Amino acid sequence: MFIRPRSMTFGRPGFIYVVVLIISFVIVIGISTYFTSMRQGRLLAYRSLHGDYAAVLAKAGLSMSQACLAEASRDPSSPIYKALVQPLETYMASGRARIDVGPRIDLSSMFSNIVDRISTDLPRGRSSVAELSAQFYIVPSQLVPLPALTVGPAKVINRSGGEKMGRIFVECTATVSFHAFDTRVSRTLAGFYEFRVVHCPIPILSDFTLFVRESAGLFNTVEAGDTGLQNGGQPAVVLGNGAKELQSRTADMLNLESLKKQGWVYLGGQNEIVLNLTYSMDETASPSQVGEDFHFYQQNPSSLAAGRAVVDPAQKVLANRHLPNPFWEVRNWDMGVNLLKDGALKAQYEEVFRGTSSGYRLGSQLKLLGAPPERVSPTLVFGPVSAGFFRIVAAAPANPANSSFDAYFSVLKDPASPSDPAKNFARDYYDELQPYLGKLLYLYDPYKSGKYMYYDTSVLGGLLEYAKGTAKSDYLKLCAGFRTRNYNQALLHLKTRNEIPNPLSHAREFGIPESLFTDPPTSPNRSTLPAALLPSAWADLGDLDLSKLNLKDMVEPLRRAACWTVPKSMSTESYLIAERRLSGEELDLGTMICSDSPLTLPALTKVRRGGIILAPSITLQGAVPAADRGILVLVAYQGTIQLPQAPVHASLVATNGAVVANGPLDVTGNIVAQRLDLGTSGGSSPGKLDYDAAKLKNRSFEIGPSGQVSDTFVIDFSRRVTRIQ
Amino acid sequence: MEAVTRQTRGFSFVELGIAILILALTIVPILDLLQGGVKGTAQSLYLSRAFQAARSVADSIYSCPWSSLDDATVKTLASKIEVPDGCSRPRVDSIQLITSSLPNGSVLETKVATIRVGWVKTEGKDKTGEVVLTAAVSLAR
Repeated sequence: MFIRPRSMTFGRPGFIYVVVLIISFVIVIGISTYFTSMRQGRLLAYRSLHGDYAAVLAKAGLSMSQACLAEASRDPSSPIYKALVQPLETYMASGRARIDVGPRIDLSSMFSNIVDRISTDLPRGRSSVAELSAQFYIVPSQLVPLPALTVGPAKVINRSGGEKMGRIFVECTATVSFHAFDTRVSRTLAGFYEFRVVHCPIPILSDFTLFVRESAGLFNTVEAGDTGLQNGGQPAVVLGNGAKELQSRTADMLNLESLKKQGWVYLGGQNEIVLNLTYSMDETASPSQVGEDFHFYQQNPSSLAAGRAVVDPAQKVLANRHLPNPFWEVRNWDMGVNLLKDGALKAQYEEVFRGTSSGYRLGSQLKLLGAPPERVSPTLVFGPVSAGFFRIVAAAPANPANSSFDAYFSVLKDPASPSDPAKNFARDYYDELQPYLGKLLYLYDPYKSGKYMYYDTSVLGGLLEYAKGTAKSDYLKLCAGFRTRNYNQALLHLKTRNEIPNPLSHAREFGIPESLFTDPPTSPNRSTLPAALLPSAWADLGDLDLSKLNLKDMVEPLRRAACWTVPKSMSTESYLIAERRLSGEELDLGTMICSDSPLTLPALTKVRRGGIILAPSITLQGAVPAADRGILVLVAYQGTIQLPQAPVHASLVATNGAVVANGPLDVTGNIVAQRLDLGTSGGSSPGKLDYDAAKLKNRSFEIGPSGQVSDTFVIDFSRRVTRIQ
Repeated sequence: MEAVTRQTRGFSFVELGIAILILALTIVPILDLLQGGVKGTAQSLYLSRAFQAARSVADSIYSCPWSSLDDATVKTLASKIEVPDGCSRPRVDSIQLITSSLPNGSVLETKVATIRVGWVKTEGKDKTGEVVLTAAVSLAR
């Protein structure tokens, strides 16, 4: 049987193409789908890889960002600096909220050389890095104040102003693009640096030009001869407590606001301390004029009470109370020193001193007062201090008026010790020596006379006897030797141009607490800080008893505030050198360092940035110039601070020891110490301690209306960023 | 017996040849694409492994204090990294120090360490490549 092949119904022309196309389509679709999914996977993998590249780059950026902090810490006008020194309270309301600090920083342009280098091996080189930037921010809840300073019973300085410690966060974003048309891939990493803001002048302590708890005897006594200060003797120290001004202008400086900017002086301890300070009529600025610049002014002929001869009515009453008719007039001279060789009164001096040695003529006893006028600046003195302007009080017949001038010369030679009236020669031997007393006092014993000389104008150097002068009881009472006025009161005299016998009532007009000016100077109130002179932030410290301020108690909080601690295995100098803060004769501190090993600082020719160094003891081997920025604070917390025979610009604090001058003191800054040891080989020049008002006056932190901030803050931070997730 | 003709087969050999050609032209590139995709995926795998090794070295470098970062240290660090399959042991070029002086006087010293990790296999064929990663650790003074 023949079977006819069945005609294939699908055997139409082109059928095979349809089948092939269908198969091809299915294959293409399937493989494309598979390929696409693989490609997506790869793209994801590459994107992840690129993201990792970006993350590594961001990590480098985080590390580099510390340079932005380093730069900002040197620039008080930078947004970061300003933000970090803001008082804590300004942030407290923000709690945990993030506060951006300054604008986003373009690290790739700031550190182009580094970015060029680290992008060398990327597929497109430098073009691969589309962005590398950093944004700093702070979280207020991560800020805390520095350890509080306990300065006395129930008196604590909360350092919550500009000072603080905490974390500053940084967010670093890196964006890479490895192909021209690729999507950019970004990664942002965040981290933080620990930081501290420390105000270099130490609170309260920096308010003092001089703060000493104990004196090694009479402070500021002077051994002087006819050629000036004596070699081998104890040198004098001239205190400048703030802005220097000619005497004629200092009178206008005494008010509450100017006092707030001045240094204070606290001379505590057991010993009676004599702080001699005076001014001159000859207003010259030469340091060599110290102690030799006084020119005696009798009085203004047209106004007898003017000038320096101030009539003291109260004393006049005392001097005349035994007489039926007032005879004596008591005048006060605020004295300086004069060579007595030249000047308008040269002829008179020669007359007076004829036959005496040149040494006497120099009036060396007055040199211990020495301070030319530009060194006088209003300040306040705390503590049991006999301090102030040297005052000669002399009684003379009221008529003729210029007889008081003669009386002045009678008492001129008397440096009787105010601390030991028993040595008063005139009182002890008056009866026996009365006929010769004036001459004796004048020629042979210029160290034993009394304060009041009842001068017989008819006899050169002669004194009137009791009967003609005053009652013996009054005389003895008045014969107390020379005295220095209450220093603060002397300022009032200056303020009132020395024309008002008792200017105390004017204290209130100037807004100054009256208690600061009342006699006696040993009043307990003289050791307390008047609240009126403190910034409002420290109002709680008002009435702080300085005699109870324990410097030692301040050490531990200061140590805990330090930014860096020197490793025990290193010396302080080695550490400073290793950290490149000390290089040869150049110091660039800019931080607060605490060390357990003594510090010996070589002579420096440049101090770029100040800061604080705490060490057990400190020896300065040479000069310390003024810091270009900030102030250098050296704290010896166990032993002494040894000073060189060279100028030192620093705030020196010896909490448990002495500041030892190994030559004439020459410090611009301030001194706080248990003792000030001036030594005995001061040479023939007086020492000087000038309050560095420009650096130390910042008792309260403020940002000025134009945004300026003090450069006396140091901002330092950890050099390693801590990553956060 | 009737001869098998195009009518009985339903298609001619010419048509079949053309169809096979079309199929080949379609499938071969697709297969090549597929192979390329597989190879790329494998490559990205080894690349990723190499990169992770390099990044591990970079991370250990970043965790190292700046002062103790030197050639010997980074070599030690690199030697401690577990080498993934298909990758070579990480190598670190000599550290390069870049010093940047900034306007306010601070100085940024950056130690740059270039880490290289090679990968050696792709789909059974020997092929080498290298991941290069750069770590930069800075210290500001």
